[in-house]
Amino acid sequence: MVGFTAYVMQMAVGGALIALALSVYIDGIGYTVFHLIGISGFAAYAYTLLTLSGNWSVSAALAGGILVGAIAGWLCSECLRPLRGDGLTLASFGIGVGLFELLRFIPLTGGVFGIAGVPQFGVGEPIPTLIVTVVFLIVGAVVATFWRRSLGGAIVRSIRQDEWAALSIGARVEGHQRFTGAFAGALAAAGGIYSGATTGFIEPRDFQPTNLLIPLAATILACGKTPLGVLGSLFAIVFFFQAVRFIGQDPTTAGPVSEIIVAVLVAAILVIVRVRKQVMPHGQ
Amino acid sequence: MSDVLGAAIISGSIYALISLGFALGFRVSGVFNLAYGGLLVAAGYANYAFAVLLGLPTWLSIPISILLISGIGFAIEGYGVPFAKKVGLTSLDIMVLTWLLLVVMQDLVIIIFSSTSIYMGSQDVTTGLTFLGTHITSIQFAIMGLTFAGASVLFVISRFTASGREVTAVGDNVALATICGINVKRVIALNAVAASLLAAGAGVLLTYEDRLEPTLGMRFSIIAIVATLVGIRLGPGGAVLGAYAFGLLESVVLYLVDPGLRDSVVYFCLLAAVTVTYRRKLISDVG
Repeated sequence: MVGFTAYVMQMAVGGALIALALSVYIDGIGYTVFHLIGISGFAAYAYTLLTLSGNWSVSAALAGGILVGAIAGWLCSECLRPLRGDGLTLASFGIGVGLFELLRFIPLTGGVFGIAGVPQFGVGEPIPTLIVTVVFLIVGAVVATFWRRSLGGAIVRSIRQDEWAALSIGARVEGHQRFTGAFAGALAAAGGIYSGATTGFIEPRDFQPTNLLIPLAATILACGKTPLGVLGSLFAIVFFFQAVRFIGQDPTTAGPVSEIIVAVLVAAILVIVRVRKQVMPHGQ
Repeated sequence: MSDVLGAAIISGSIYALISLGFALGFRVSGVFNLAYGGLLVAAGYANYAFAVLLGLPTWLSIPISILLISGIGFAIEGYGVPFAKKVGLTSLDIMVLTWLLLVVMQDLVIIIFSSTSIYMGSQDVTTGLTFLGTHITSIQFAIMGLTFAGASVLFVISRFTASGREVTAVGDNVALATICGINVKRVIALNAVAASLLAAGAGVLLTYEDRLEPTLGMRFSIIAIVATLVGIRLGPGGAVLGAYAFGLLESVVLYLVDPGLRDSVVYFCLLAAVTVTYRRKLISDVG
């Protein structure tokens, strides 16, 4: 894949995996979180450093990066477990941006300049990259769907609705909450690694909280529907976003303009969904 | 060590100035208004537009900017937030909406001013006074004085006047305040006016102290939240104490640990402040 279409596709799939992670977390814990974007960056840097400095193979580094994401997700969810509501969302923002700032600061990550020459999955060739893209997307969607339909997914949703009731019927509340955090972290990690390993370059700016705008928009737009709904919404938003940039020509204004349109769209959907008392996209 | 203390006093004063308006708004609404930092940035840029781009004199550009931006702030705090609560949005929904509003404000500033960073202060930073080994400029003196005056006024009003007690009552329990005969709408409106004026004033003043960038809004909001949560038990004036505590911590990191960690400290402080303030009892704690 080359050119603008390839770039849009890569952006869409990376965002899709993070949107799936976000939907898993919201479905299981019940609140919007921002730390997943930081975790995706952490995992992407782990993959890059393991391949470039540790001389790991691409597949081993991919597994290592996802493991780093899962552990980071578990640790973050452990920090956030005593919180609920806007407190939880705000604290997750603290972790997410704190991680982003650390990435900007640590010399190992190349600071604000990032790292070039990240080993690519499809060695930069169009067809292998396309195959990797499809595989990532399908695996992410299938795993998220499987989790959602599994007994564990049902239990964690019941915990979200009433922790004490779930405890009284014997659910392992803490275990399920930890697993949800780790699982969402692993999915976000896959998104971050995919983005880095298909473009061949990563910098901290790729993982700042504003980049969560589109995955969050997709999750809210899907109104808690299946992972396929999240993916469909995300692709629609990304292509709209990029179409505005493409038509606008001037990147310095087209980027902010498209961001404003998406922000207004998300706000409108959030208000409509909440006022109509439909499915709760986040928060109880 | 005196360097650290001097820097802590200066940065603490700036952060206190940033936080006062937020703390006032938060006391009544209980909502984390993330658009607050955007108002500060917008006020700074509005003053720049009027004074530099349109050529208005400073004595005219400053009040116009403050009135314009505090009008927007009032619309958010005085009408937007109460309306959102009325239609059934939760605090979390409103917080996400204010974040989106911040993104919109930030992008508008980027589009209008082409991402230019601005500084309105004097190039001469040598005049002033040396205190605790740190050089304090006249604008920093003004900020310290305004912060002290603002905090004192807020403290006196909130503790010793009927209006202050009404604000506390509405912030604690709107239903009960209504039953007690307090005009809730009036209290919310007056509080929103004061909070917005403080935000806009702080934003304008900041451009005379340091370089302002369109993307700094979120950082300002987070600093205000941290300061407010640290001093939450002391009322809106407690934010000043929280701001100085945060300023001290930041200066310690800046001078004694590593300057590169300065921004990380802001966000990890947010995590700590929120966790300490809102930590609920876990099932494992209960047994």
